Amino acid sequence: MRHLGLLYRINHLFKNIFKNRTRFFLVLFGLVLPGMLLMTAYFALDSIYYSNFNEYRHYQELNLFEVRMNNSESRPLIYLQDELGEKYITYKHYTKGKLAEFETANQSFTIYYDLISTNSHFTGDLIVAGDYVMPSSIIKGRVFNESDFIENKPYVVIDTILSGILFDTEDPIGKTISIPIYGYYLENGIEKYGILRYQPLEIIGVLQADMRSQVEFINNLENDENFAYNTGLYVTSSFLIPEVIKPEAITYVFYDTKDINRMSANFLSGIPTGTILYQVNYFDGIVYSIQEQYQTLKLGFVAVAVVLLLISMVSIISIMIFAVKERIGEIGVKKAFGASKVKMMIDFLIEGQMTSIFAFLISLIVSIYAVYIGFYIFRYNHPSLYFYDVSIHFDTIILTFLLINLSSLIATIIPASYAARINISDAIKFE
Amino acid sequence: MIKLENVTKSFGDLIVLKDISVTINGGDYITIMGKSGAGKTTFISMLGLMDRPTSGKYLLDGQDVVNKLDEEVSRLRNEEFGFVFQGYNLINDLTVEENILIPVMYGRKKQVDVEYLDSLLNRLDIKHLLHKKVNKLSGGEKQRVAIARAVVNKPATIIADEPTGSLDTTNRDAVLQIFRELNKEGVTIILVTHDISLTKDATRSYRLAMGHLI
Ligand SMILES: Nc1ncnc2c1ncn2[C@@H]1O[C@H](COP(=O)(O)OP(=O)(O)OP(=O)(O)O)[C@@H](O)[C@H]1O
Ligand SMILES: [Mg+2]
Repeated sequence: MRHLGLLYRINHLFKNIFKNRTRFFLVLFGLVLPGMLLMTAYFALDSIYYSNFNEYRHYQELNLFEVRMNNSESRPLIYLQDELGEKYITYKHYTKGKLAEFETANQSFTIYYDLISTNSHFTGDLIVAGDYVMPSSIIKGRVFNESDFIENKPYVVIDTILSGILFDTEDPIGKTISIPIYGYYLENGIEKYGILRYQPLEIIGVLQADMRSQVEFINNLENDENFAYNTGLYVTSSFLIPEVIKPEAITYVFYDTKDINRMSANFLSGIPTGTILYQVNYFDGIVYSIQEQYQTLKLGFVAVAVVLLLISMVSIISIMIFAVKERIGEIGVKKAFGASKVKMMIDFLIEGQMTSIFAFLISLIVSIYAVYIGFYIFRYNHPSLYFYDVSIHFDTIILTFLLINLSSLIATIIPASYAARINISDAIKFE
Repeated sequence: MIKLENVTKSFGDLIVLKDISVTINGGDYITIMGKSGAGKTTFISMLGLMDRPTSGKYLLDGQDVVNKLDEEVSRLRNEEFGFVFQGYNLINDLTVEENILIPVMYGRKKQVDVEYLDSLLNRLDIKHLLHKKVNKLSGGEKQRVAIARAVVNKPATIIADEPTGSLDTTNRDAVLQIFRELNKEGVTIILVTHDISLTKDATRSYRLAMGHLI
């Protein structure tokens, strides 16, 4: 006894799908095109999203948010510090200054500094500034300790790039840098903006510059005639430079959202109503708005894919009905020898599903290749975006699989039921 | 046993079969003759459950099959009948073996009696053709493959619609010999033919004319 199980029937049907190559490729193309479009777009979007913003999710979990002070002239920095206590990690003085300028025969570059105040929560593991957050580590020296805060030491923590520029391979720890302090001064009765004096700061630690800045810096150094590098200079919050006590704007990064309400209540008292003093950006909100943008883009691609699939469905229906008509003799024979309407219908549905699985696999492979190659070329052309990495999500694959197979299934129902309803004796005479 | 009572079949206004009553017993060898367009194919299509009568009763082994569901009728067709068609009606792009196994594939048991099939292939002299595509075969070979397909499920009844119509005498005699042997083994044979000489094997011969079976 030999048993002809389901596998035999599936193998039989599998051969059927290749019977008419042109038809097979037409149907395949109709399904591959939207599948490929959808997966490539999703893979690319996911990759960009996760390359850029996945870190943000981490900060969102840390409950971080930033406050941007628009104009703090009415409240001295000291006041804010008293008010906020330990609730912030860093704040940035808006005192961007020109730290140094380098000129060679064919290249010039300028280093600007951002003065960033830190409190005792600053460990160096995370660079938390107003507009970026990066994981980091102290690779030489140390961060600030309690006595640094108490004694208001003129200490500074710099990054590896600045250390490399200023000291090359020499050990920077213990060395002193002088930073120009900018401000307004009177000259012959006219207010002018410029360097007021130089503030010496002793280097106690070196922080790993983030990879992105490193790659960008090297790239600029190799390719650009003129460029600027922004470096962060970390000082203790207790170390006050009198000239920058009234910054134009300060960005605070907090690690505890609970205090924002208390702060705003105190902060707003005594200030004319209608004055917009600060702006709060929760990482929650930042992540949410980015996610929303990506979601909208994704929905757009789904819509395009669905429209393409609908067009394909219409053509699949007509192609398949044509196929059924062409195979009417075969259908008659199968029915005469015992294939019921249901079995006949299932046969055609299985054939349709096999074609769509083919289409799905082709779109999957092509999309993965396309995204990998695309990102490879992209990274090659933009070395500073070295961290752009392909991330492929299973949800996308499932979604595409369902869309392709469902539309193929729906499109095959009509021709399949047409095949099922074919009258045997008519079909037999057909040959 | 097949029993028809007052069976009528019409296509629109055209009444092809009128009020036919007939009983066919197990082991019968029946021939049906008639002019072209007399309704022979229509009649045997109905006998073989490929078509339903417009009115009348059809009892298969005592069971009314006219109002049975498609699933059940298909099963009966698969298990009780084997068909040999005038135009062979093989599936061209399949091999001989795949064609022969079609009834098994759509059957309930899906079991092939390998020994039986082997002896069948030897008897029909098509064993060497098993893996050939059927469109490469000669007419006689095709008809023998069609016969193998008709009997692979060991049906009680074989219905053949002018099976020898397009064969030469040697092939015709071979096919008739097979039917004779199958009939000896107890298989009911229902044969549609134009050839009066074929009626000599029959236990009963009918003629279809003006919609009546006489
Ligand atoms: N599905 C159908 N729709 C309409 N008329 C049909 C249909 N099937 C058969 N007929 C008609 O019924 C009549 C009988 O046809 P049938 O095929 O049974 O004849 P036949 O005796 O087998 O003829 P032949 O010897 O030529 O094969 C014919 O006039 C045919 O045109
Ligand atoms: Mg006929």
